[in-house]
Formats: sequence, structure tokens, C-alpha cells
Amino acid sequence: MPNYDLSNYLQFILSGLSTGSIYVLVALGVVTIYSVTGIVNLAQGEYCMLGAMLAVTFIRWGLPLGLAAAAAIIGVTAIGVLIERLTVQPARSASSITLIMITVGVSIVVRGVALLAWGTAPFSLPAFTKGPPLDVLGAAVSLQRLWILGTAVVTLLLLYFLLERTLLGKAVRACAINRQAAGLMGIAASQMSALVFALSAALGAVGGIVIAPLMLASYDMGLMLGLKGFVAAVIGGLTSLPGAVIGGLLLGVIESLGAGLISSGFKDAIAFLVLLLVIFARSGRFPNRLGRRPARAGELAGRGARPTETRP
Amino acid sequence: MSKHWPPRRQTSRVLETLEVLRQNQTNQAFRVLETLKVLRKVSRNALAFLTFALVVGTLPLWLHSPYLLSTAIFIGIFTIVTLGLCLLMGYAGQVSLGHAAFWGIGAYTSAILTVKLGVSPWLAMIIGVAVTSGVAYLIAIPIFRLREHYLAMATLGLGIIVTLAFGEFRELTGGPSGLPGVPRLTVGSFIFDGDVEYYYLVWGVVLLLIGLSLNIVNSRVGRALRALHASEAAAASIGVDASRLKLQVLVLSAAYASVAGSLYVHYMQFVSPHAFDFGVSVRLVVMAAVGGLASVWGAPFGAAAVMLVTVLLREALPLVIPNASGEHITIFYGLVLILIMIFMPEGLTRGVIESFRRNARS
Amino acid sequence: MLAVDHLTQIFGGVVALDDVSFEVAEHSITALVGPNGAGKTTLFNIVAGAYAPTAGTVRLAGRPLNGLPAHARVELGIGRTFQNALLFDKMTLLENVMVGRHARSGQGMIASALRLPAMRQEEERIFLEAMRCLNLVGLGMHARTPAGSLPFGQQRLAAIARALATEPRLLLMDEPAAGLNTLERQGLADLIRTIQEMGITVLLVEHDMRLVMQLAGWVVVLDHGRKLAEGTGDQIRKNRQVIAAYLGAEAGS
Repeated sequence: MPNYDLSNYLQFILSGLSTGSIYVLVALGVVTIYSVTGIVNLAQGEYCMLGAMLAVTFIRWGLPLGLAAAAAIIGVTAIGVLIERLTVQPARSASSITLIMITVGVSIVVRGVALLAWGTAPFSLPAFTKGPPLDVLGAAVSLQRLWILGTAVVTLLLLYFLLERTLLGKAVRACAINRQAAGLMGIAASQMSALVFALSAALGAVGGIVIAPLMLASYDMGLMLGLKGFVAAVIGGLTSLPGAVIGGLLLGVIESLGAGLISSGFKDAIAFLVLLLVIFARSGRFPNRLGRRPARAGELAGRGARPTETRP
Repeated sequence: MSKHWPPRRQTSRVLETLEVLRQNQTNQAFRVLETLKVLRKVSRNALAFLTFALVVGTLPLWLHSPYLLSTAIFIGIFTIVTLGLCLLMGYAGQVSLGHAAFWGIGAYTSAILTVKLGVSPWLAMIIGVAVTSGVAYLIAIPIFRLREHYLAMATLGLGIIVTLAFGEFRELTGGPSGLPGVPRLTVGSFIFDGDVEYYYLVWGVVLLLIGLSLNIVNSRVGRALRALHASEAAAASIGVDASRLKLQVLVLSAAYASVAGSLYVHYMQFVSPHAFDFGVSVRLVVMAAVGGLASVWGAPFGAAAVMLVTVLLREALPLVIPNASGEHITIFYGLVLILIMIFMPEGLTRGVIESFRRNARS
Repeated sequence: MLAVDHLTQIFGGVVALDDVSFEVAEHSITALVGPNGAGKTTLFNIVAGAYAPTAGTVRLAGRPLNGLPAHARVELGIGRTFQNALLFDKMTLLENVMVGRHARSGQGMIASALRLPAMRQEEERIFLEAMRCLNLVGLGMHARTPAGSLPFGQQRLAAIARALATEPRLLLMDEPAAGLNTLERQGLADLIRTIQEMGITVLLVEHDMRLVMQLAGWVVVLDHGRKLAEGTGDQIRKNRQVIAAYLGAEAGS
């Protein structure tokens, strides 16, 4: 391994943090959907791709950056709700494997449509502010990476505000803690389901738009982003938003360090090795959503059939 | 049957004993009846098998398109992998989103051994089965501790890592551009060179494995698997060792996939990582789902259905939509997956059978 | 036959069992009673091996069972039934009971795949034994019916047949009478006595005190995870603490 000095390590860490911020945005979406509906959304990354591609298209149509980004986010949010209504609602009482497979199917369809609409060639989005990279203690940090970090922070603050201070946000949290009890309080589960899909779609779109200048937007950029965002969510425990943040940043940094120090070819594999490590270390003993006891104990207690939780 | 069913309350022990003896006699008569019924069932299975074998055996005679024959060979190879997957997902109830990895390990083992070390293809195939089974054995114990979607995620992760590994270890595997020059299979001086010979080779193996799988399903092991799938707690309470069974099924399905992998490389005479990636694993699950997860016959039908539809689309779609191409097929593919998962998660064949049964009853 | 020693089970913050000790004599019918939530099913789960106790030991005929998984305990001779039958719905009754023979048979995957003669002979034996158990509970004629389509009472009997097929030395029955009508309960009482005569020790959890008094030679009373009392049916019936514990709860159905 070549001789690296502090500024190199700093470089890796900083770029890892910014990539990690994208993973955070994707992971937040995964966690939100999972906590409220129990669905593992493997199509999360496609929202990033759609956000980026739509933004590129709108800019080509002449819209200024800010407007294009906003329009793209709104568009992707609408698509997210559409997907939820069409594919998740009809299958709400299915097993989690079936639902995972449905999200896989969705990601295949979305990717295919994107391929049709935009072709295989990657598009570039101009950097948000033009200028040379900043010098931070010897490490070169491109301005876009600062944008990424900044956007992530702002998004997190907005999300926090939404969940903690608004009634709607509290309804979402109630649903995440105990869906049946929330239902008894008058919170419509199916509305919540649509809401979290919309929220996650928006989060994903933001992530895609803000990383597009660095990464080049293409129809298949969503697959790995989605999977890695999922890994980040798993690191954080799958049901915890702060966990998703830590997981995303951690994953970004580990990946960046690993790619720089060991081998860049294995970069993608690092995320999955981490995934396996985390899954096996916890031996599947993840914090369950409260209010839903593990199936085995329920079976053995045998007090009549436990009502199977239905999706909203 | 006698009109004393169910046995009424007896007041004396003697009567009880007589009751039990009488039940044993009735039991014997019942046993004869049952054996006859079992014979009929066995012959029904055997009949289905023979018909299938006949259809498969005569196909090349009236199939005159070399393209379709080649497709049939691929269907056969996919069937072998899907067979193992059906047993794993349908009977043992364990989802696998990375099954193409086993297929790939078998394929690469065969390719590397024959190309780089000049090992005989048949020996390479056996070694491939050993290696793949070994890998399955090693991951079984930690992986089966996981529940539901964690299991799915772990298999997903493992599958992707294996695919990436195929691309990364260039000296061994030829990297992303693959490994060419894989020799043909030979028996003595006979080379499996033409498509017709290869067709019979592949489908011969398919028939053999279907037969073995049917035997397993209709045995003590098969019943234990179905019990495990229905209720792991109840199965454990009557002595079924869940972990051991799941391990055995995983190893079996890995072995099947490995054989398919070897057959694949000796047909293509080439191997590359892209043939075993996540998308392929998904396609395998779709084939299993379409055919029917808990059904041995589901494997050939699911594989055939998916492949034929793909071929059909590839040929027919450009006629309907002028510039149609691979993207449309992919989209259609995803739509099929979604629709099946929503409406018939138990699989197409089972779904169709169930709807017939429902209509017959009403 | 069974010795439960200082058994304690704590789930999170809940003490389900608190230092429970008692013995079940061989060839007896022993009843485990107590108000709902007393820890009876938890005790069953521990004895059957579903999970390990927080503290304490369980011994079967002197042999400690600590750490043995559930399926291994079946081989040693512990059988159990569940409150809600837990039959394999889509399999026939016969197949359900044949699975019960799993621990007493051994032909593996390879032998099955090749249908070796040893395997075919074993299948025949499994079939016969399963039929015998089904006949014992009176369900022989429903052998080919899917288990899920039977009425509740018969599902219960089928589950008993399945447990009997494992050739248990000790049979744990979890509320076998719940949901049965009077006639079915009589049949069940006869069946349990027959099981005892077959040499099997029975430990049953029951709320139906009439049935308990009829059948049980020994009664152990649990309340809030602690052993309240144990003795013959008569002794328990007159025990003031037991009566106090039951005041306000059903004393029989």
C-alpha cells in the first residue's frame, strides 16, 4: 500500500463523507418505508436516478437549476406515490419476501423505462457552483461535495422538523411504533403508506440530484445506490433514522478508505461485505418494530391465532 | 368402514382392547385399499414422467429451427438450476436472491479446470459440484439463523460479492471479459458438438434430476420439508431437525446449479461474470415463481414459460412497436414479476390448478 | 420421569417463572394448573426445548436436558401438543402423522432420491405406524383429508396422534380440552387414560378442573410464575391458597 500522508487520508474521509451523505438520504428513505410498512424497498435507488434524470431533462428544456431541481423532486414524489398505489396497495397482506420481490420488479421496470426514455449514454449535470476545489488541510474538496454535505444537513433538519414538530410527522412516527394502535387512534394506515413512499421518493430524488454533477447520471445509477443505501440502513438497525445517518456516513467512509487503501476494484464489494458482517454479527437479531413480537414466541404461546399484521 | 366410528365410550378395559383389535383388522383392510391407491398415485406420477420424457425426447425431431433448439437447450439448463431453487424456496421455505452465484461457481470451476489445467470435463464437473456444495455447506449454518428478509438480504449480498469476485480475480477467471476456449464434453471419441446431441445430454440430466427430486419430495425427507415450511415450531416439536434439513436442501440445490453451470460452459465454450449477476438471480426466482415454488414440475414449466415469452417478445415486439428492443423485454419482465407476486405468489402452475379446483367445487 | 428444578424464566422485565420445582412421576397423569398467565405454557416451552431457561434445570429420567434443542428432546422421548393444534394444514392427516415418525426413522436424502429398498421398507413401516396412531384417536377414516379442513376438535385429536407417533415417554399436552364440547371431552379423557395405559407419562395443562380431578393423580398449581401448591386432586381442591388464587377467575369451564 502506497505511502499516504494525512492529507490523503483526509481526502478519503471527506470524499467518503460526501458519498456517505447520499447513502444517508437513500437509507433514510429505506428506514422510513420499513418502519411504517415493514417493506424492504429495494427500488429506493431508482428514485435517485429519476431525480437526477428528470433534473437533467428539465435543465435541457431551459429551466434554471433551482426550478429544475424542485420540479424533479415533485415529479419523483408523484411517481413514488403512484408506485405505492399500483404495486404495494394490492399486495399489502403478502409476505415480506413477496413484497421484496415486488420492489425488485419495480426497480426493473423503472430502469427499463428510463433506458427507453433516455438511452444508455450518461448525462452530466453542471456543478451547482462553479469554482476550483477548496483546500482543507491539504485535501482537495470539490465544491459539489460541500453542496452534498450541506444538502444532506438541510434535508435532515427538514425531516427532523417534519417528524418532531408537525402533526403529520407525529402520525408517521406513531405508525412506525405500533401500526394497530395508530390505526385505533384514527390514523389511516394506507394514507401513511402513501405518505412514506412520497417522503422516501423525495429524499431519494434530492440525493440523486445533488450527486449527479459528481457521478454522471445514467439509467442504471440507481441499482448500486439503492443497495448500498439499504446496507447503510441495515448498519443503523433498519428502524432508526439516526442509525441510518450513522450507517450511511460510516459506509461512505469505509468504502472510500477501502478503495483508496486496498483496491478500487473491490469498491462495490466492500458495501456488501459490510452488509454480511452486520447481518451475521447480529445473527438476525434486529430490533423488531415494537408491537410485533417475533413469530416463534407467538406461535408457541398459541393463544388462538395471532392476527397477522396486514399492510396499510 | 364400520358404523362404530368414532369409538363410543367403553366402560370396560376388555371392550377397549377388543375395540383396538378390531381397529387393527379394519386397519389391514384399509391398508390394502391404501396400497392400491398408492399404486395408482405412483403410476400417475410415472405416467406424467413418461409423457414428459416422450415429449422432450421427440422434440428435436419436429423442431426444425436451430434457434429454437438452442433455446430449448438453455431452457433445460435453466430448469436444472430452477429445480434446486424450487426445492429450496418452495419446500424448505428459504428465499435465495443470489442463487445464480452457485450456478456461476460451478461454471467457473469447470471452465478454469478445463482451460487452465487441462482437467477432463467430466472430472471438472464433479469437482465443481464438490466445490459448490462445499460453499453451500459453509454458508448454511450462519445463514439459516436469519429470518425472512434478512435471509433474502444476505443471499443478495453473497450473490453480488461472488459476481464481483468473478470479475476481480483476473488471473484466475479472466476478469470481466471472461474466459474463452472451454472444450466440449466428450465420451470416448464422441464429442457433444452439435446442438441435437447437446439437447439430449442436457435434457437427459434434467429428466434424471426431476426423477430424483420427485422421489425426495414423496419421501420421509420431503414430508419433513413440507412440514418445516408449514410450521417450523410444530415440526421441531415432533423431531424434525430444521437446520440439518435446510442445510441438506441448500447443498442439494447448489449441486444442481453447479451441474447446470458446467453444462452451460461446455455449451457456450465461454464464461463471463455477467451471466451470473443479480439480474440473473432475479430471473431464476421469477422462473421458480412462475412455475410454482413448491412444485418439482414447476421448474421446467417456469423456465420454459419465461424463456419462451422472452423469445416471443424478442421476435414479435419489433413487429408491433417499430423500434422495440431489449429494453422493452426488460420492462415486460419486471411487470410479469410484479403481477405474479401480487396475484399469484404461489406460482402460475399452482395458481391455475387452484382456480380449476375452486371452479370444480362450486 | 421428569424433574423440574429451580426453574426461572425472565423475559425482558417480566418474570414468567420464579424458582419452580416439582417432579412428575413415571406412568402418572400429572396436571399443571393455574390462572391465565401463571407461566404454564412457558414451562412447557422450556421442557420441550423451545428456549433455554434463565436459570434452573430440567431432567428427564435423571438426564439433564440443558442445551438440547427441541428436536433432540423428541428423540429422548418428549412429545408435546399445542393449544392450537398447529397441524400442517395443506398436508393430509396421514402425512401429518407420518411426519411424527421422523425422529424414529432415518432414511436420508440420497436413499430417498434413489428409492433404495431400505427406504421403501421404511416408508411402509412409517405408513403402518401412522395409521395405527390415527386409528387410536379414531380418525383413521379421515386419513386422506387435508388437515386444515377438519373441524377443530378433530384437529386436536390429530395433533395428539401425531405426537403419539413420536413414541414419547412423556407427553406434554397444552390445554387439550379447550374448545371441545362435553362429548368430545369424554372421548379425550378416555384417550388420555389409554395413553397412560400405553405406558406414557402425561403432563397436562388444563383449565377444566372437572377433567383434571377425573384424570390427574397429581396436581401442581402455579400462580404468577410461582408454585403455589402440589398434591392429589383432593388436597388441591381443599387448599385455601389455591382457592384464593382462583377467586375471580374461572374455576372450571
